[in-house]
Amino acid sequence: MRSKPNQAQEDIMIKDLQRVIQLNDLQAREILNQTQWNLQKATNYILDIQKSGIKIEEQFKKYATKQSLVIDENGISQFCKELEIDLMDPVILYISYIFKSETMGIYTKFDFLYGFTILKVQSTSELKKVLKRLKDDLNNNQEIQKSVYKYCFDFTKQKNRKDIELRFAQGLWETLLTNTFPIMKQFLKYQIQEKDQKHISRDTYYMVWEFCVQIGEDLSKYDYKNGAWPTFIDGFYLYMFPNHKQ
Amino acid sequence: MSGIILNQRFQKVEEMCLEHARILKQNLFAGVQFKLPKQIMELNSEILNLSSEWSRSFPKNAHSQQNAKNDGMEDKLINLYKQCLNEFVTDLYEQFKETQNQKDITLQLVAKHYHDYKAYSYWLYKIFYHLDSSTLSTVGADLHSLSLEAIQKGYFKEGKEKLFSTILDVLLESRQQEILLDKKVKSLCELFIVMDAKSVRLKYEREQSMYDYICLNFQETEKSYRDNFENKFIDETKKFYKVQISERKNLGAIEFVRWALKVIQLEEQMSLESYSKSFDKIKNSLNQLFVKEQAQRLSTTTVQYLLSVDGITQLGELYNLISREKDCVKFIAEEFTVYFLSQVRQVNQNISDQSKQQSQGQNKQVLAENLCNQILEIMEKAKDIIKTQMQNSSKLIQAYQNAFTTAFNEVDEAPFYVALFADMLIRSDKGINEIETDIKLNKIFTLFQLLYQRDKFLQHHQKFLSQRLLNQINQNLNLEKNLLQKFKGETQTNVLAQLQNMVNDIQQSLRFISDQKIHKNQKFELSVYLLSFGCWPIGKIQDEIIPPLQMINSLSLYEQIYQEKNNGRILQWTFNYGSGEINYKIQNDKYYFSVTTLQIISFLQFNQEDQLTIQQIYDRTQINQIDLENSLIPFICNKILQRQKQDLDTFSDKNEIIKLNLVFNNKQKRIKMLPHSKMQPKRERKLGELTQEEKEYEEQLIKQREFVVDSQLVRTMKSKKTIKHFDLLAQCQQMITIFKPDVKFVKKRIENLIERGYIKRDEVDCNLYHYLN
Repeated sequence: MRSKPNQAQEDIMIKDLQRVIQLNDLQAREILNQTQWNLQKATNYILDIQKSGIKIEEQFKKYATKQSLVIDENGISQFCKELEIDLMDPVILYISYIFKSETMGIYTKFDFLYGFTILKVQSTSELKKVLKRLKDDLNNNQEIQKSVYKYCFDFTKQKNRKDIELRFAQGLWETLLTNTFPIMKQFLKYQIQEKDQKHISRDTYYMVWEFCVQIGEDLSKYDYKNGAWPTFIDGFYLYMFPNHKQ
Repeated sequence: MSGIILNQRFQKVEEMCLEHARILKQNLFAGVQFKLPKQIMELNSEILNLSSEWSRSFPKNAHSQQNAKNDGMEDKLINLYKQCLNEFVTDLYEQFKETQNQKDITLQLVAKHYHDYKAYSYWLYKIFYHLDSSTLSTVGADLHSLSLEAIQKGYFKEGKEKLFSTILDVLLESRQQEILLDKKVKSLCELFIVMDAKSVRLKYEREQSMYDYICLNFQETEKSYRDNFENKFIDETKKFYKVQISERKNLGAIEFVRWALKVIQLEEQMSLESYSKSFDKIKNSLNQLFVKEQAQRLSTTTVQYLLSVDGITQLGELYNLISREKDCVKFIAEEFTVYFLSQVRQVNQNISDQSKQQSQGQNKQVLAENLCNQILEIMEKAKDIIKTQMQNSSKLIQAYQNAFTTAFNEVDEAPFYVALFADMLIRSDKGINEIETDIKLNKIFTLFQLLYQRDKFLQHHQKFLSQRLLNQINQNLNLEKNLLQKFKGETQTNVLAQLQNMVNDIQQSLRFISDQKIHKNQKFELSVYLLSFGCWPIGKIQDEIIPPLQMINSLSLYEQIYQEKNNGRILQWTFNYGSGEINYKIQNDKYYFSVTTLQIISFLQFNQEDQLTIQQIYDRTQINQIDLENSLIPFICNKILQRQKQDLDTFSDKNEIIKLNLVFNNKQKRIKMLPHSKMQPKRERKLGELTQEEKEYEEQLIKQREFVVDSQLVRTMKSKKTIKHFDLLAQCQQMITIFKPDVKFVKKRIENLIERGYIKRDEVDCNLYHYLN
């Protein structure tokens, strides 16, 4: 029984794994976690995926760019068409979450390899068959919703920043939250006055989820004076009740 | 055998005893002084003998103690004693029954009865006292208790209703007359106090010829006293005054207060006099009626009115009444707050109206003076009232602080006005009278304490301080130091250290000059202030300016001497500050011009030539256009220099020639020519320009504040490790005194610290924060 590695050791293992094959940090961490941080097992697992994923690779090549390195927006557009879903459909975000894809707008080969394997499908048409189950999961299971929501922050975020632009955040809220939490419809109407709030921090983003779950429609539960809600959400509360500002 | 003899002797004793008892009784009734006849002593010893002989002849044993026959001598004697008492009591009661509802007669009679009975009991006791120890074992009570019991059964029990209503009537008369009347009521009250006591002693005060039952165990009397007297009395009192109060509903508040205080005084007096056991309960009842139930009504109708008409003493009277219940003072405090809030807000409004009427900077001084002086005056008045009329009550002081702090900070420019006011006061202080200086400093400090935005105040103060310190006439170093010391005691900030450095700089500069005895160049006298870099609110240091030759030597000399003492330090000359005097000789006249350093530098160029183009002046001095205009145009306006263009035109044409007026003549030999706004070209007051400076100050202030809050937050997190949001917020606001951070500001800083990785939220509880190392 190997003892749990510390932060530095983890990072080294991730880097080691990335020398085997091109995969992002999130995927590496996920796989290593599954194999109890045994580098050998993880490597084997990856090689297995590669061996049995020939059909997946072919599928990937159909969408990929000329150089066959990644799938860009055009490819994704095609992908969605074949899945018969809208580009804005939240299930595509769920799929990206399963893929553990790193950046919105790009799918790598390993994204497909890993994701399709997890979903136990080999092609887009097979994926289409499980789509309904995925949609149901996303709509009904709050745990999954939460995980996908949280994942989307990093998914949307640019590498050099710690926050995301407000318009992207609003897009995510609309896509992921408005169906389950009707209060978000009002939330999206809320425009901030201050200039410096064109970005949403991770903490604020996560707290919007908490806001939906804990408060939701019933704004009387919102503790404006003593609660630890971010000022962005306070702003929304005041937008709804301007006379509470005292 | 001896029993019969003893019994015969007993009968004799009985006769004598009863005989003497009656004599005693008659004497007492007649109020005659009597002497104890010798026979009393014989009786006494005879009783002793009887009882001891009997007990010798018929000793008690276990059987006879349970004998209920009462044949023993002791029992007979005890019964004799009781009989004497009861006869007396019966007589008393007969007399008592006959009194009707004439309270005065009843009062006198009962008082006398009580006195007589006590006297009688006392002397009876003298006869029988040998029996004392045995009565305790046979009857369970000593002689005195028996005496009390007798009067209780035969007199008090039947008569207590009447007694009570007599007391009530007498006191009612006292109340109506509003003075304490008959003191005899005390003895009636005493009856109630001692009844039911099982262990008493009868005492005789020879000087006052008074007899008193002394209760040894008060708890025995508590219930009787309460039931028969206290509760009923207090109820009647309450009823009485409830009616009185409702009759006076329409009375003016102060009249009511005065009446209430009189009533309370009277009742307390009555209580102390006659029934002091009930003093506390009565006091509480009165407080309930007169204070608790009236406080709010009285406060809301009078306090503000009295304050507005300066009814100071009446306020004191009101306070005297209401402060009897500590809690009720809050009503006065609330009214106090409201009144002074509105007073200060009125002043604020006036000032704001005045400022809208006026246009530009100069009259800010008048505004500042008005605002500050008026507010100080009101504060003085309020403080005085609290001190002289309200015993410095802490609730009132709290209200005072709240009112003034809240209202004063509603003035947007309060920090600026206070700084300006301070500047004016300090400048006008010649340092002669220490007391007056102290008063001034205290004024400034009082206003400082009111401010929330103290950092903003210090920003302004720094600017004014710099102006004062750099001008020799206005230097008052001790005063400045004292003031800064006061501020230091009130709040923490780095800026204060800067200010103190500024003062120290000047102090050291002066010392350096006198220590070094800087060689005085005859042609150019130099006096230098050494300013520490970073402490002074000086803008850009214009070190590109080229001083004229005459100055250079002196400057170099100074630099040299300084470097010798302080090797390695960098000196820069701030030619854009400073002032001096030019000696100008022309047409055989000598003139003295008061000017700035830049003016010196620019004008001295004319030592070399009689005329120069603007470009030339610029080349030689590197003074920028605006400063050059400000410097030379006063010379032009005073006709010392001449130019081709109009006096107040700008120096935009670099080829324009400026020349000396060779026939310059002026009656005044001393001319002040410091740059003046009237002697400047009309520049477009680019609103951008002035507010540029203000913008920078504002940004600096915000950055400082962010830093202050950040460091407080981190400090707290470091020590607590884990803390709830509410507590973190509260701690932060409590510890920061340099300004008043509002919730939103602190929250934003918390968010910032989360982003920077200093704090994180708890996974489960969103209101909990953890410190990250």
